Amino acid sequence: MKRPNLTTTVLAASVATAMLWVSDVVDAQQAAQTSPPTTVDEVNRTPELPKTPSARAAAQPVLMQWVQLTQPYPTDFRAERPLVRAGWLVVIRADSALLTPRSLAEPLLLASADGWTASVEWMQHGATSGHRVCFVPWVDQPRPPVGPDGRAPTDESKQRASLRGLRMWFGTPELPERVDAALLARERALADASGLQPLPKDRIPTASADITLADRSALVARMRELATIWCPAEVEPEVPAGPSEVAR
Amino acid sequence: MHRRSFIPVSLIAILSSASAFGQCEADLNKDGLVDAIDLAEVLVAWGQTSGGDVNGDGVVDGADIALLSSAWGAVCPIGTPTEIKLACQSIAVAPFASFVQTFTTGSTVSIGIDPALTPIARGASADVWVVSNRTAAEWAANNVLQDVRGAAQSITLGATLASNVIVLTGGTTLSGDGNLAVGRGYDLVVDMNRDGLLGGGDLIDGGGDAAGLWISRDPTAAGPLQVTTLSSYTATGATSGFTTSRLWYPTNIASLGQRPLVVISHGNGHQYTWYDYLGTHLASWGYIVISHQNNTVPGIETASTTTLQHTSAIIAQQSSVAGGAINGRIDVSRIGWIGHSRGGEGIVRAYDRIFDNSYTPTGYGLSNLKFLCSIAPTDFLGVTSANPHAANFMLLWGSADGDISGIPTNSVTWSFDLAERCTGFRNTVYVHGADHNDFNCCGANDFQGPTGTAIGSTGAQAVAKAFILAGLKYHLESELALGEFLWRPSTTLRPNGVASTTTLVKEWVPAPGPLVRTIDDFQTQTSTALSSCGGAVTATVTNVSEALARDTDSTYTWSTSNPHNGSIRATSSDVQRMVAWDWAAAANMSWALPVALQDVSQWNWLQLRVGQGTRHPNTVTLNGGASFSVVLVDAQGVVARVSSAAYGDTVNRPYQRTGSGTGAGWQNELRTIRLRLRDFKSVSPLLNLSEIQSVRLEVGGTAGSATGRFVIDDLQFVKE
Repeated sequence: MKRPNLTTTVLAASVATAMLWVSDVVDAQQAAQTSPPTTVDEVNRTPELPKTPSARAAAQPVLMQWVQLTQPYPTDFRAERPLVRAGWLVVIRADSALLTPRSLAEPLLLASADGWTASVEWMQHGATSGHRVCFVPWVDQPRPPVGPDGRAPTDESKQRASLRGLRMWFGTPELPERVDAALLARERALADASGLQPLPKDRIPTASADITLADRSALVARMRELATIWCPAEVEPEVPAGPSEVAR
Repeated sequence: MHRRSFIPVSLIAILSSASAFGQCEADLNKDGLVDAIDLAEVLVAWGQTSGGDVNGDGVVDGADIALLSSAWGAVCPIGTPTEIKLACQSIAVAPFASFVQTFTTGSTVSIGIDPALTPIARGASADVWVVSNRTAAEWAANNVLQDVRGAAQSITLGATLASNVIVLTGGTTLSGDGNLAVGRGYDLVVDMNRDGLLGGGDLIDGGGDAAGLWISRDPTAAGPLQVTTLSSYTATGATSGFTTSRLWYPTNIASLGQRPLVVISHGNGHQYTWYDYLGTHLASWGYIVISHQNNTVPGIETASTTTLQHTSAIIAQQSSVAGGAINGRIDVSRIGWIGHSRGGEGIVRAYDRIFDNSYTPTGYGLSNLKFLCSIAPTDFLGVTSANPHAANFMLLWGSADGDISGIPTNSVTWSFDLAERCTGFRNTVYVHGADHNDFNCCGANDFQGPTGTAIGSTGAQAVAKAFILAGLKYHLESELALGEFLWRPSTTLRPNGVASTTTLVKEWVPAPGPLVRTIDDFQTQTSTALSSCGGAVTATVTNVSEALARDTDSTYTWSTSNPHNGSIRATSSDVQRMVAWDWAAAANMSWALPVALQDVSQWNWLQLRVGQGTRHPNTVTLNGGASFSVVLVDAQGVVARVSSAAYGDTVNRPYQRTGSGTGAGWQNELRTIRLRLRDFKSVSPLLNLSEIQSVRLEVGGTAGSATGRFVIDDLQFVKE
């Protein structure tokens, strides 16, 4: 699958948050030219699950944005349910076989960089488009986070998790709600053992402008906005509508 | 025709009777007079142990004639009618009648009268009345017979049940229109003295509150009500991102009073919009139904939370949702949950959380949840956390499920674990040819089965509509006659909208309690020589194994070291045990009953769960349905034998799915077989049901299939 044109993402990173929407649209349109989203009905067969973790089971970020939350929330993607106060909003591209919905345990979506490993949150699977909208929660901070320049920012409210050594990958199939710190450590070790390499600097999209959202509801709404662009076939209708008679 | 009050007349008769105590024992037909009809009864039964035994000494002989002669002409109290099952289907072999309650519209309805049980009927002429169902109180107030067909049907009875199975004229045109009830009830009366009144000596099927005969409309067809759909609303308090739900309700809900609530929880990668077929169907039969966004990606705990939240939300928001159309119309005391896949385990987890007091929902509680139905549920959490406990639980599972597939290597796919854990009423429907996503509109095609066996979403959804509706009506609205859909073989009772070619394998396991007397559940006594009721067990069948219902070698290939091959009903943490054995010649397994359990005269059924052992060489050799006989032996050594195949079906051959090893056949498919105890009396009138000493299953030879392997559980007597 051809990558979306990163130029647009770079441009978007240099303008206000509102402009990100434009970037999203352009990227999605370009992605659609090479791999148009299909309806779920058209997914005929559930593909075999590739081996995870493995080099093939890497995910490629195509859009990143740091999000600060005014109101923290407990993440459902960790057994300890730690509070999330910030994180990276990410759109990834990956092998559709890895994104395909399964009732059995699906491969954990994980992210790590220097000093941290995270169980990534997501809602729509993205199998039909090859893209998934994710949120990398910033919950475990073994050392003070650093900014993009590698130095600790002085204003803690603007701290961003380091992207140095960033990897995003699909790990062992498991329910995210059962992921604890020990499992994260094991998965990171498995990724290391599988030869999964950090993304080259030029494969990490330039981050869009930081945004601050009120709470998880606002975050979900933002993810949904992105999903309507990146994996529209999987977005459930939410617009309230009036009663309608239906034929029996 | 005059009307007379039933009970007062009986009392008057009793008070005015000049007969001495004992004389009226000679009024065998209870028609109020000791006469030639009674004498005929004695003569017909001469030398037997019942049927004309005036003095009750166990033999019909000269003493009875003497007593009858001394009472000749005595006026006796007019007794009450005899309540006995009459509605039946004709069967070709003994006992020649299958006594049932439920018939689909347009099907043939018969009555069966066994002179061995009702001597009054032997050789008599009588009138058969089909009367709209009356309660016991209504019968007491009005015993005038009124036939819905316009006129009673005259019959002449023979000396045997086989000669007394009579097709009801007009039976195929009986209406099943019960408004919101799926069917309509009738009572059957055999008016022995042909006076147009229900009275002493008459036979009735349905003299209590329940109907004797039930004509059911097609439960796959839309109900009588127009449906309004609210395509989406926002549930306050639900997890962010999972707040949207769809609502269906009867358009005329304002005129219906309060109606039960049904909640649908989808599976992973599914959407709340994928169950329109079910929501519309159930609402057309009077239910308020929601299907909600389900937080399944993190796992089962989060999914259960959204089920709990959305149930509370629709109760709390009923005054505002849909413009308040359902305000005050939700009957919170009657809630049903339906879940698919991860959502199927999610609803069980949700129930378990309330049960464990780890979650307290707002607006309802455990006692309000009357019915849980899981469609192909996962089993991630195991016995401690995914346990339906004493809920009324139904499981639907497609034999060609390529997702929650039942592969022996992954217990997450063992849906039947959940059903086995249930300690309440449970039933399962194993749907041949259905895959995982056939039960919604839009999921991927995951069919895994032999070519030509797929029934597709149309077939699977017809099954889901019929059986979920039947379960809801049974558990939430006490429409008990629909229960027969849940256990009878499709060859004798099939929803009209389900294809006759669709194989449905059904289990029906009542909750433990006063209506169940277990002979052997293979749990509390681990010895193969002792049953759980404490009686001795003997067997001539081979390779008997009583163990955890668990396939232990990760393959469906038969292996002698894995005697419960194909049983995927217990993880290593579960306790569900069963027995398995095989045969290649005439053989049996016999259970002796302790004295305290030998009187089964007041019990209605003998039942067991049984399935063929998948891929076993004998199963492969048989290559078809298996049959066996059940034998009761009383204290006098009287033997009564009934074939399991008499009722029109066999223990089916396992679905011929391949994979997970060599050979064809998937998991062991257990079905419940129920035999009426009266049928044993019909085939052996001398059998004394008050002192049954043993129950025996016979296979091979003339008793059933020549070879095979069975997995068996829950041998029980059951009352209706």
